Amino acid sequence: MKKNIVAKIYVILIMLYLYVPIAVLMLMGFNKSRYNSMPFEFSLEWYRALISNTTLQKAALNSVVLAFVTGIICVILATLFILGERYTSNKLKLIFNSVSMMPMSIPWLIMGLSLLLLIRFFALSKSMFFVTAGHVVISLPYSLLVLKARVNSMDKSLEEMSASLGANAFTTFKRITFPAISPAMIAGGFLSFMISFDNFAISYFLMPAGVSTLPIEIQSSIKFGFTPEINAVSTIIICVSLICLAVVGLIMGFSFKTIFGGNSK
Amino acid sequence: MSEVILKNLTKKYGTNTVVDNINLKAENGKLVSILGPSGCGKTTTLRMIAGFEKPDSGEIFFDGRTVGTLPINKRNIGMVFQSYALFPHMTVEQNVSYGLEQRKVAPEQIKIWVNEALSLVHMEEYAKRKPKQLSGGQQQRVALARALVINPDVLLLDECLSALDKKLRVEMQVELRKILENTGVTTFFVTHDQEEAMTLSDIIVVMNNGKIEQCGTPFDIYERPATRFTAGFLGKANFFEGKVISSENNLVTINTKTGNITIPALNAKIDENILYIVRPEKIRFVSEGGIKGKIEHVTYSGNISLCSVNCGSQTIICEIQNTISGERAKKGDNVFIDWDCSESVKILGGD
Repeated sequence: MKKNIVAKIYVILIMLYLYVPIAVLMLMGFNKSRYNSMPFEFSLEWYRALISNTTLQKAALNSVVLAFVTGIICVILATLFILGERYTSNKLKLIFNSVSMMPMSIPWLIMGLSLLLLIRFFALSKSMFFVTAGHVVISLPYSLLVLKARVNSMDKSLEEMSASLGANAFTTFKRITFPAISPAMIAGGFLSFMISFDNFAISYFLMPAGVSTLPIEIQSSIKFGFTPEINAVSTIIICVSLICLAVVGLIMGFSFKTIFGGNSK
Repeated sequence: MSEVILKNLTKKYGTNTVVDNINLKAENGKLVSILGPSGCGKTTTLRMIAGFEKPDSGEIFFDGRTVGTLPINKRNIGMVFQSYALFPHMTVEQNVSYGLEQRKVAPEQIKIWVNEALSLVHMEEYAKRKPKQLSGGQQQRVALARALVINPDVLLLDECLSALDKKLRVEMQVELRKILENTGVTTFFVTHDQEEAMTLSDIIVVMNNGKIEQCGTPFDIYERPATRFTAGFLGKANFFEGKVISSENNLVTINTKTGNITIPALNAKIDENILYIVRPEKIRFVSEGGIKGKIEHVTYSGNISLCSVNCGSQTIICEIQNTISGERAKKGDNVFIDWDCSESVKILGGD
């Protein structure tokens, strides 16, 4: 009994540790004070200010588009990679796996820097193309991870059965494999989207002049003393993410498991 | 429906030869069981017939045409896996239609054939259900309907009954036999269950270590095993192995590793190395004559009792029918055992 209470308190403390900062941030978005200070006085002023802040809006839109394109590319690449990888030898599989997961263990700062140096080396100019390419490099492992779990747990005899019933490779993919892995594709794409949306380092190094993303905008606004508009925009982002997650979960039913449980069957 | 011939079929994984130069012929409409312990190459053989695995050498013929170069989806085979592999996101109806759709059959015709196939396996009422909503036995039937509806040249069943419980399995065996007799499709059935192979098959192929040990009717395989492995794998058997030292009046004395023993058997040549196989149920207790021994152990299992009889140089297992209630044999009894000399199956040169 006593042990039970201790365990509960422990869990509550962990929860507080994880979510208090976010709660404070969201709360302060509704506070009238410009400096996030007390006393709390409810106001929608900063949300109003946001409506007229086109720089921040543009940055947010850039981020969404960038993350969306990155997510789509990552899902396509990851799906092809995982499906193809099954037909290689175990030795090759091991090599592919380690190489494809490497970007997860390399600091993004170093990754960004190296990409920048590469562009300089070939005397190219920074462009959105390279930003997207950079984001794909760091986000791809997350799509791969989710898809691999699903594909590996999939009964391979389903595809064999489809072939034995006369279906060619394309039909088998369309009618058997795709329906089986589509929840994982959405979950994997969503994860890659979030990684890209959140990314500062790669964007900072590669972004062409005059374009910015939300993380860059937030970073630069701190330099000039930021207003709770940032809180407001963060709150909106968190809410939109949660809604997205819920919608994905509702549509796919079991995809929460795919996202958080790793291996769902 | 076709005749299937496997010719010098070999499959290697690295240096490991899984299927070693096998030759096999399945006549039109016959049910051939491939029986063997796990790792004997039976599933690999089946997968080569299906086209999932490419043989390293040898050929496969359906009705005289070689299918070695044909991809799986052009072979016109029906397949049932141990896991059934029903498409989880499709209804029973959609599962069964799948193969016909690939063959570009008209939708009205598909409907008719799917209904026929489902009624063949008594699953018409479940047409709209998803596989998850069916029991193991029902899934099994759907898988069978899906494989049969395309009117395959060859039906391949991979341990397809082993996931069912014992009672259901026996029911399905009888039903499967009936269905297959009605459709008359040439069938290969992979199993490790000897009883199942006996009940179902026209022909049993016993495999071990990638090679065919024996191929014959269930009767032949059981009553006239050609190797020690076959005899030991199908049912119980007593083995008497050694050099013949005397043979007269259908009584053969063999010098085994553990000593001499005289058993009833058709006369053999002196000095020949020989292996005799005797099934325990052929052995009877007699009041005198025969081999003298002492019962070491009795295992009662309802209709029969298994007795281990120590006959000096060897322990012989006898199976006695419990035709009357009451104890017919007990531990420590001194008994005489005998059997008809023609029941001793002779294999020259031992193994």
